Amino acid sequence: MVKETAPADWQIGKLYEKAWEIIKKNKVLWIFGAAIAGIGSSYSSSNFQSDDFKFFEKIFQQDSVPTNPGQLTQVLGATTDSSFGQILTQLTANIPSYFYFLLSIEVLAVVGVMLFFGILKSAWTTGGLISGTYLASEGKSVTIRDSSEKTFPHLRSLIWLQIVPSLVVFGGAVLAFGILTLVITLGPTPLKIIFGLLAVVGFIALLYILVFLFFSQIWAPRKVIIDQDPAKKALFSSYKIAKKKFWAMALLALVNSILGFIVVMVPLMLIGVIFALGFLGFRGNFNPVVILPLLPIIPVFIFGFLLLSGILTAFKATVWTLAYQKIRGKYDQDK
Amino acid sequence: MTKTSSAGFHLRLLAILIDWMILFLPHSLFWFFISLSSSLPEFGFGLFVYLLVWFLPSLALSFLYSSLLTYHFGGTLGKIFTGLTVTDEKGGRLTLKRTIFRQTVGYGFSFTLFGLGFLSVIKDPLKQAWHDKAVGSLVLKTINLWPVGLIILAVFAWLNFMFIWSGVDNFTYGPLLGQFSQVLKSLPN
Repeated sequence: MVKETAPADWQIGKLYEKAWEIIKKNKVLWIFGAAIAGIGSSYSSSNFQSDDFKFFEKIFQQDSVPTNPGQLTQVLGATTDSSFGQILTQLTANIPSYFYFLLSIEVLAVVGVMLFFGILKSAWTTGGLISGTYLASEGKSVTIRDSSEKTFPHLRSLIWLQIVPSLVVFGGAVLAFGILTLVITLGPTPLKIIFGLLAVVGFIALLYILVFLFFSQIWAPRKVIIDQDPAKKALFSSYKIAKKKFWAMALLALVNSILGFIVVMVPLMLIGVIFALGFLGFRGNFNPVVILPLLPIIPVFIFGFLLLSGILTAFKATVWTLAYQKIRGKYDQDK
Repeated sequence: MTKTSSAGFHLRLLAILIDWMILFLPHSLFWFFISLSSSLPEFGFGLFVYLLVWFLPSLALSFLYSSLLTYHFGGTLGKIFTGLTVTDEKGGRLTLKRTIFRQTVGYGFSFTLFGLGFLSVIKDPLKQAWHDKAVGSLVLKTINLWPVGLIILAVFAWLNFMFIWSGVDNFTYGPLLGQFSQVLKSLPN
């Protein structure tokens, strides 16, 4: 007895064709795409990156507030023998210790505020792009105004999706692996073996969670914007879809990544090759003045690159939105 | 019949320039006073005080300045001196949430692609920038005050220039540069 296979919910070629038609006609989507690409976050995954905290971490690298200039120069990585270290020693000679504490508080506050508005902007541009692609797929005109108005009521849900799942996974992983590491390092040998095995199982479980979180975060914002679901419900039903459509999603994500690589990396590599050839050609006779005529080209290049990244981001968002419309309501219901 | 019309790019640019000059004035004042230091430790202390008392707080203050003034008075000082008002699409006041969004996320959005969102005012029929479209706001010219705006811009620009120039002068011809050079000369080769 031949088992009938259900037809695939989408064909990548047809998705790409329709997405390209939409992107060509609606340049507003390029702007949202460029805004997302410009803040360095992928629309399809959480924007709450540990990178956001790197600057903040550097400030708090030291355990105690430095109390003398010599200690301060070591704290800031400069040796007292260097000119920079000597000048720094002089400049910080009169600064009381509590100033550093106040500075830390202020930097913390500034970073916090910037992080908040960064997350808000990321949520709004993601929502705007999804709204825009949905409106375009329905044959309606896409404007910044309409996309923005469609996103505003769901901002809280979009922000929740950006922060909470990643925080929970990150927090849970840190706690779990922290305990495992402690026991493995300090515990008796039988416990070390057991917890070592648990660590392996935990690592596999973490990989599973991260992969499905990544895939769930593709559908969840679409469920929020298109189906107007609250954030938690959107995330859990997206997880159901991700479990059932895992391989189809993986293939689409892989094709999108390859496309992204070709579109973005090939021009960059070509430019790199040109520069390398130019440098090798000059070698010992290299004169920086030669670069001067090329300087005006740099902002044009950056603009072009940002625009290209924006178009690519918008294209990929449109592909996923079209894919979502094919499976809407099919896999996220409880049977 | 309303006498207001949407403000064009030049007027909005004038308003922004006035705001920048006003917000930059405390920075140039601090620079001037720090440049009067007679020793490197005094200079370092002054720099630190500038960071603590003005530079870092100004990042929050500029956001409060633009959001609260726009919400309460329909515009920042730059817009007020140029005779411009920010309203919603019906001519009423923007809500506080939309105003804050406009002045923060909205402005950031307009900065995408090298400030193309601000330049879009030139071609837009309603003279809306991208941040205006995002929240549904309009910038209307309510009084023809641009000559006053120009004078205020010139005054603040001159003040900023004087303080910075004097600061550079103090630094170049005062004791500080000599002390920097002394420290560098005293180092072993």
